[in-house]
Amino acid sequence: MSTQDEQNRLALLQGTLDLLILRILVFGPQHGQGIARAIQSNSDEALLVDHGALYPALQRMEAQAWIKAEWGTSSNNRKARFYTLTAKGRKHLTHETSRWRRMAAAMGRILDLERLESQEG
Amino acid sequence: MFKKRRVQSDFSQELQAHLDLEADRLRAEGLGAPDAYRAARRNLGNLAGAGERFYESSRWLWLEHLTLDTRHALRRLRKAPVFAAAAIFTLALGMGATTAIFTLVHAVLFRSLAVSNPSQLLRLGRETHCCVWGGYSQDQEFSIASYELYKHFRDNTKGFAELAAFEAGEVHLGVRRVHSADPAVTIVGEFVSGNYFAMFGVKAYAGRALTSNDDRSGATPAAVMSYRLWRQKYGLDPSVIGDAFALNGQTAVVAGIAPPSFFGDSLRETPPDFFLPLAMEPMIQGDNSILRVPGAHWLDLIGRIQPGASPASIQAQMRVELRQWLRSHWGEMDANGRAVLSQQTLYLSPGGAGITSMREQYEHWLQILMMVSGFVLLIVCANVANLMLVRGMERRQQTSLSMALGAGAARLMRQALTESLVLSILGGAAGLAIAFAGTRIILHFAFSTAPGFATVPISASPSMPVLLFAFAISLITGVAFGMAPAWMATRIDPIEALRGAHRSTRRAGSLPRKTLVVLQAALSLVLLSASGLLTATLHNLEHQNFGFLQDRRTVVGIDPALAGYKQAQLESLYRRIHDALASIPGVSSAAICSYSPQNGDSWNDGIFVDGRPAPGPMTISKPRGIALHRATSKPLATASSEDGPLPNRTRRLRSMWPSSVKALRGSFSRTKTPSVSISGTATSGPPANSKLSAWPRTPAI
Repeated sequence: MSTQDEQNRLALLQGTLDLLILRILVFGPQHGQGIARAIQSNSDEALLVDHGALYPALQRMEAQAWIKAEWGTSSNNRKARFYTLTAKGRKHLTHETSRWRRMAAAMGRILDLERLESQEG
Repeated sequence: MFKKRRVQSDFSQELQAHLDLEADRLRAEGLGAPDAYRAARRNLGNLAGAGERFYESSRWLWLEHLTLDTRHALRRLRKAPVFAAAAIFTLALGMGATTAIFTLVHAVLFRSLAVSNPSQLLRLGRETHCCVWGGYSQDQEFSIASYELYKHFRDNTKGFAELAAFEAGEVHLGVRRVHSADPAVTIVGEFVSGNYFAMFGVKAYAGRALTSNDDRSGATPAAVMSYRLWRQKYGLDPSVIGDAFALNGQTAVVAGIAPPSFFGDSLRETPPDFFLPLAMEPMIQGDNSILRVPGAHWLDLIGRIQPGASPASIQAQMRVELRQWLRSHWGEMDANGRAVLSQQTLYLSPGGAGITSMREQYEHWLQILMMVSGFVLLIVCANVANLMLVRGMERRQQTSLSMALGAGAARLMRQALTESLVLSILGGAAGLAIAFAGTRIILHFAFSTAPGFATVPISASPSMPVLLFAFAISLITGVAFGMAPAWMATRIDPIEALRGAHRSTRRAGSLPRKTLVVLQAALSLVLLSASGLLTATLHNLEHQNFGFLQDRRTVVGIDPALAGYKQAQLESLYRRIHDALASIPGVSSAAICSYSPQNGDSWNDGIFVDGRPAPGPMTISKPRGIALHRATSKPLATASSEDGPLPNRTRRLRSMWPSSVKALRGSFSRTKTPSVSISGTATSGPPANSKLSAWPRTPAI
C-alpha cells in the first residue's frame, strides 16, 4: 500500500466508528483486527481505521454493554479477543442507523439544492 | 456495577494479539517478517499511550489512587511511630473536646422529643413561666394556664386534634409498694392530663398508658411509671404492672410503663418517673391543691394540630378565648389585673422539642464551650501543621526526585493531603473515646444533685449525628492542618534532586512555620485569658455577697407531705422539728422557710400598701420563718422612728415606693390573704431566683 493510497482514504467522521463496529458485528463475533479489516475491505479501502483508536472504542462500548467479549482462537490459530453484539447493542445499532440515514438524506438534499441553484444561475 | 474490572494485562494481551494478527496479514501480502511487524506496530500507534488511555478511562481510578496513597501514608506513619503517636494524641484531644461539647449541644439544643411526628406539636408560650403563677395577668405573654383555663382552651379550640396539659413544675412523691416491706423512696412525679400520651402518640412499653377515663374525679387512681425507674428500682419485674403503690400515703395502681426513650414533655435535669392524672392532684396535694383554683396557673400546654390547620389562626382564636375567659373572672380580678387585661396576649411556638427551659438555661454556656473547644481545635491544627511541615522538609529529597521523574504537582499534593487525612481520621476515632469519657464527666459534675432515681436524660454514648459530626470534623481538621504542608511539598525545584543529599537549602519554608507558631501563640493567649476570666468570674460568683453569711450554715430539706402529713399538722410539726434542731449540741440557731435562699424557686403574687392604689405587677419575696434573719445574720434595717434614717432598704422596695418611707411601717395586703405588717427591710442581695444560682453547680471547664 502506497502513501498515495493512504491519502485517498477518508478519515472517519467523529462518532461513526461505534456505528461501523456494531454493523460489522452483525455478521458474527469478530476480534479487533478483524473488525478493522472488515471496515476497510467493505468500504473498498476507502475508510481508514486508526488501530490506536479502535481498542479504546471497543473498551468504551463494552462498558456500555453494547458488545461483550470473550477470548477465543482466530482462523489462523492465534489467541484473540472476540467481540459479540448484545441485544442492547442491536437496539442501539437500529436507532443509530436510522439517525444516520436521516442525517445523510438531509445533507444530500441540501447539497443537491446548491447544485441545482448553480445550474440555474 | 460491581462486575470484576478488566485488568490491564488483559488489555495488553489483546493489543499483542492484534499485532500478531496484523503482522500475519501483512506477511500474507508479501512483506518480510521484520517489516511486517514494524508496519503493524506503526499502524497501531503508541502502544504505551493506548495502554495509558485504557487505564485512565477507568471510573475507579481515583479510588485506586486513594488506596495507594493511604497505604503509602500508613507505611510512612509506621516508620515514624513517635511522630504518629504525638500527632494522633494531640488531634484526639482537640477533636474529643469538640465532639464532647457537640454531644451536649445536640442533646440539649437540637433534639426533638421521642414522640411521633414532633413537627405537628405546638406549645403555649415562647418563654417558660415556671412553676405556679397567681392572678389574672402574666408578664409579656400568657404561657402557663390554670386547669380551668386549660379546659376552656381544650373545649373551644377546634384546630387542635388533641390539646394536653401537664404540670410545669414537678411533684415529689414518697413512693412505697403497698405489699412490700421496702421503705418509701422519694420519686419525682408529674401531673398530666388524661390525653397526654395520646397527644404525644406515645404507647405504653408494657401495660397501658393513661387515658381520659383515668383523668376524672372518682376514677380509680392510676399512674404510669417510667421505664428507667422500673428497671433501676424494680428490675423490670412484670408484677409491678397492675400493683398498688402508696404515693404520699394515697394508694394508686401502676397501669403501665412508659417507653424507654420517653423522658416526658421536656428535657430537664429531673425527668418524672411517675405520670399521674390531673384528677389525682387534690388527693396528693390535699389542702394545697390548686386544681380547682381558676387563678392559679401551673400547667404547660402542648397540642397536636389537626392536619391542614394553620398555627397562626389557632393562635388568633386562642387569644380571643383568653380574653373571654379573663372577662368571665372580672369579679375576682384586682384593680391591676383589670387595668392590664387588654394587654394580655399569648403566643404559640413549635412544641417538637417540648418545654425548652433547659435549652434556655444552658444555651449560652454551651455556645461558649463550643467556641472554646473550637479554639482548642484551631491550636491543635496549627501545632500538627507545624509538625507536618518539618516532616515535609525532611522528605524534600524524595519529593524533588518524584517531580524530576514527572510526578504532577496535583498528584503530590493529593498524596500529602491523604497523609493528613489519615492522621486526622485516626485522631478522630481516638477522639470519640475521649468525647465519651468527657461527656460522662461533664454530665456527672453538672447534674449530680437530682433527687431519687432521676438522672438527666442525656446519653454520653455517641449517636449517629455525633458520629457524623466527628467524621466531618476529622475531614475539616485534616484539610485545615494538611493544606499548608501539602502546598509546601509542591514548592520544590526538581533540580534539587540533582544536588547532593545535604545541599538542599534549609531557608525555604521557614516563613509558613513562623506564621504557624505566631498563630498558635496568639490563639493560646486568647484561650488562656478567656479561661482566666471565666475562672475569675466563677470565683466571684462563689464569693459574691448574697446578703447573708454562708459559712457554718447547712440547708436541710424536709417535705412532710411525702410522709402523708396534712396541712393542719404542719405548724406543730415544724415547731417540733425547729426545736429539735435547735437543741442539737453544736447547732447555734435554726430557722425554717418555705424556699431557702438562692435555691432558684419563687412564688409570685401581688402585694400593695393598704389604703393606697394598687401598683403594677410585682414579685413578693418569700415567706420566711421567724428566726431566719437571725440564722443568716442578715442585718435588719431598723425602722425605729417614723422620721429616722433607714440605711439598708432593699432596692426593690425603694423602686416600689421611692417616696413613701413611712409606708414601710404600714400594713400590706396580699391577694386573698390577711394583711401583714412589715417589721423591717432586708439588705439587698442578688435576686433570689436569679439565673446565677445555676452557676455554682456548673463545673469550671
